[in-house]
Amino acid sequence: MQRLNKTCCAGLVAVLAMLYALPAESLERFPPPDFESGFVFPEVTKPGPRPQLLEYLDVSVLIGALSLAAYLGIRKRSRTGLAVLGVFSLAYFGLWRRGCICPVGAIQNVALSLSDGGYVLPLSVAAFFFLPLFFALLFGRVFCSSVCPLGAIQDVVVLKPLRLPMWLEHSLGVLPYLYLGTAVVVTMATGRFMICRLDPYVGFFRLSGRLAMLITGGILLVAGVFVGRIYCRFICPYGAILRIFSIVSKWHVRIGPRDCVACTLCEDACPYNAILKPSGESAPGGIAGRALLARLIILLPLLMLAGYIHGKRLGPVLSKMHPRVRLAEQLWVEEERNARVRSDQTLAFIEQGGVPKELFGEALLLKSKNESWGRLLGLWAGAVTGLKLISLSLRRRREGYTPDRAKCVSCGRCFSSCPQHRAERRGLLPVERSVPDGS
Amino acid sequence: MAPRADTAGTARTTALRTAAAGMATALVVLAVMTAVGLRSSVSATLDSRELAGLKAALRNDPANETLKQRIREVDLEVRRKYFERQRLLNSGRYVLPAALVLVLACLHVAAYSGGKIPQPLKAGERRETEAPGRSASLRSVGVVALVLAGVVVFAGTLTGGIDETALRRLCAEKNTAKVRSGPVAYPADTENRKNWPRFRGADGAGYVPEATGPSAWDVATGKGVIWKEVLPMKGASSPVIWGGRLFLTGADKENREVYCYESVSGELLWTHKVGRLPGGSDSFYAELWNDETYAASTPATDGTRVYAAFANGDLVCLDFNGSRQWARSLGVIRNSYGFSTSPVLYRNLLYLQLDQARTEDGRTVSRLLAVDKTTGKDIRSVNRPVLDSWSTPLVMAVNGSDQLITTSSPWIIGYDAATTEEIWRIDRLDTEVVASPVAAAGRVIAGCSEYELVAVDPSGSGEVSKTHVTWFAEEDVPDVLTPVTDGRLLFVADAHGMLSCYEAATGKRLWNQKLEGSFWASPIIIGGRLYLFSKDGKCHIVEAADSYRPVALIDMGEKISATPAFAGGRLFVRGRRHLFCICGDD
Repeated sequence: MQRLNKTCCAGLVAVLAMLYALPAESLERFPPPDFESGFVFPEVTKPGPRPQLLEYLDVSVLIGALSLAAYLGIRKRSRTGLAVLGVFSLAYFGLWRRGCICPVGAIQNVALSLSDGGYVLPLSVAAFFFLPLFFALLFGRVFCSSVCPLGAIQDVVVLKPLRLPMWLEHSLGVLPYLYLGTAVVVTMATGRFMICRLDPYVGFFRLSGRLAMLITGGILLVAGVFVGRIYCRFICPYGAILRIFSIVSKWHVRIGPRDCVACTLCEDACPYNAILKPSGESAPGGIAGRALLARLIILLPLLMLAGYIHGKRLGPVLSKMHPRVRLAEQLWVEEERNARVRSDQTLAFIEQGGVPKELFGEALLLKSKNESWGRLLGLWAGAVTGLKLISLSLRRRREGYTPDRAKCVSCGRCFSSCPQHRAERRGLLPVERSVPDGS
Repeated sequence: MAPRADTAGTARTTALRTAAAGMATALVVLAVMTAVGLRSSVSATLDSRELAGLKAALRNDPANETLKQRIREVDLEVRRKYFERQRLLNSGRYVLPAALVLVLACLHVAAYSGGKIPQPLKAGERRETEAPGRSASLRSVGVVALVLAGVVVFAGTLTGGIDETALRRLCAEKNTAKVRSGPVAYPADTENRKNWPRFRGADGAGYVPEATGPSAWDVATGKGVIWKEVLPMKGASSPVIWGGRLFLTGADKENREVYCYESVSGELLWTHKVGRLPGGSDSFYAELWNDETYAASTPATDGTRVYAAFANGDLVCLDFNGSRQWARSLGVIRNSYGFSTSPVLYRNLLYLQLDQARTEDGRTVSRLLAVDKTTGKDIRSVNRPVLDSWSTPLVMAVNGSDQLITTSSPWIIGYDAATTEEIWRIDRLDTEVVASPVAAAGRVIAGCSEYELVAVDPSGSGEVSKTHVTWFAEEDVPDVLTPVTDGRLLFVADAHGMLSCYEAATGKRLWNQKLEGSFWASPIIIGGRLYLFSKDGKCHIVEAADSYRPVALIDMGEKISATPAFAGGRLFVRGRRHLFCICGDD
């Protein structure tokens, strides 16, 4: 039977890796016949904007789903309820809404509204960005638990979760913050939405997409069978913000409904390494620990300074992502080579009466600005790394097993590992009605 | 407990078997979709052998209606099959995910139902997943930081593509008047060759070796013509181009103007009206017989400023923004048909060959004027024992130093370009000298109408009329048009359309060909093609080769007197009414 199980998993791996590539290929156009057939091609139409009413519906569904997730996770403590809600979110926000707009991508809209005075942040987008944060302040990462379609699609493929070593968990845990900084800087510097372009799952929601996107998504899903929620844990930039809000949330899910008795039964329950063990009597770290902390606090500004200085090197990379700079570069190269055949972009620029001098001047200005953006990103990277090191050197006293508020996605997978929870479910103990704070 | 465990085990087994069945279904569907997908690709569909064979047969028998009908039927059948496969694929898009959902659901049931209840640890036991010491985490984050630093360093090396320094230089070139001060630098030869800085381009050669010129365009339909702008005023001067800017002059008897166009878009960026300069006038030595000769001198540019001369003797220097840097009047120039010599820049000097007719009392007043290009003030003025001419001097490197070669009647004279001291002279010209000298095979080649085409070794000194003539020809000599050479072959055209090809080194005539029309615009060579525009607006394109090989004859739709320019892969042609930018459609 185990062999059968492995066969199914291996087959799933193969199928997921190849899935959806075929529909993507089928998008190619079919050439018209090279003779008069009498057929009149229909006029090309563009889809209109989404009706305002449906946008309000989306926001309402989001509020309802967040509220329900908070209720199911904190009050009801129902893993099944959360799983069902996750499937609903996957269907609604993922498949029906085609994964857009989502709070993860809304980061870029918010960033762009801050950098580009001409861009007005739509109300629904603002709602999608801020509502999960507001709920995170109150209830922790309930959005991640069962409302986010990206989290939901990963959650359903977790079958054989392996636990990563903590050192790897910590080092990879830096990446979401770096991705967040990069995405914000890229948006503000170039106007490009890299999160959307690199979203690995949106192709599945839309049953279409670039082959690279589909393959990446497929690989992540297949890997997700064994390493739970890879995107949420090590990539998601919105998750990075939610982590911070969740740390200070007023309420949070708990492993058990009552005070932990440190029975250790929940130690392996979380596939995402989000359960903190009791610190025991040995913590915190004594003089050596304090000395290390002092050194790391001193290191923080040095890392930030180094990031600021060397971040300038990222300027050219950002410039390469900017469409105007790329156009200027293309035009420059064509002028240098006396190119007789121009690219579509430069041809369009020229035919629209663009003045190369102005474009070159604009490109230079952007390049200069992008060096500043690069420095800012370097500063951020230095701060993230330094703060992570500091956080690792901090030791807190804990009496029992608790969810790691930053990492915990409030999925409720740990509930059933707690004997008190099981006892309540079977009526052996009275149900605890007080809303726990998880501390 | 036993019945419960059995139930769970049965459920798990059932779930796994269902999952296996679902997986098998998914794999079958996937295999079918793959096969169908590969067969239904567009290229495979259109690669129908039968269809290709029928189409080939139709090419041989285009009037065969039966064949046409058969092609339509086969084409329709091919398409029908294609869309059938598409329908199959679309069905698979839903069946496959459904099967996978079933597999996932069953695997979930198998994984999470009837699982073991977690057991507490025994005394002294440690779980495998016990967190290691924090030092490992610290080190790993440190490694991440190092990797990041590496990425940043690596990113710094990925600048590629555009050279930012060069971009800054270009922008600086375009705004130099505002940012430069002190002595005006002169551009390197490479920069000159990249642009078209004077009459007949860099070195006055009219030759662009490394480019490919257009050979097909249509002014009427606009095919191959990037832009076409109406010219405000007339003139026979040629455009000069530098870094995306094109400069041109236009004039009539009372007005003189300099224009700056965006060479890429054709947008007129500014117009500078010269107006009446101190000491200047609108009077001429002789009534000009053609309304284009008021602006016959082609301007020159050093990449920071543009210098323009007009038939009334006005000389003006403008920066690239159209601001006047200096201007002066050279007075009335005693020229029989109108002054048309173009200014030549050499380092900090602007040379103007002011050849003039004798005064009424028989004195020769021709001179070579060298002015400081930054101030417009005279640096040197060298008297010349020649009559009025219309040719433009040539700067040529000879034995490590630069010579300024002038041609007039009767003397070809070589000056030290830096000091304006005469080095050599040769008495080989007569009549009216309009064609400018060219350099080929280490020789100066010059000629004048109905007299002689002569190649002179410029390494001599003093009067070298009898010692330094390498070869000469008395037939097919230049009159109005300046010859052009690719270094090996010399092409000479006259105003009546006789195009001749000589070996530059020996003077051996290889071929000649009479072209339709009459000509005032000098030929240029781009790559291996020679371009020659007739007065009635026909562009003759022939291969610059050992034998006469015409490439194309293209009608520009209007009269053309000005020599064309070429920069940035585009040909710029001044017509009587329009300025054309041509990229070609070949």
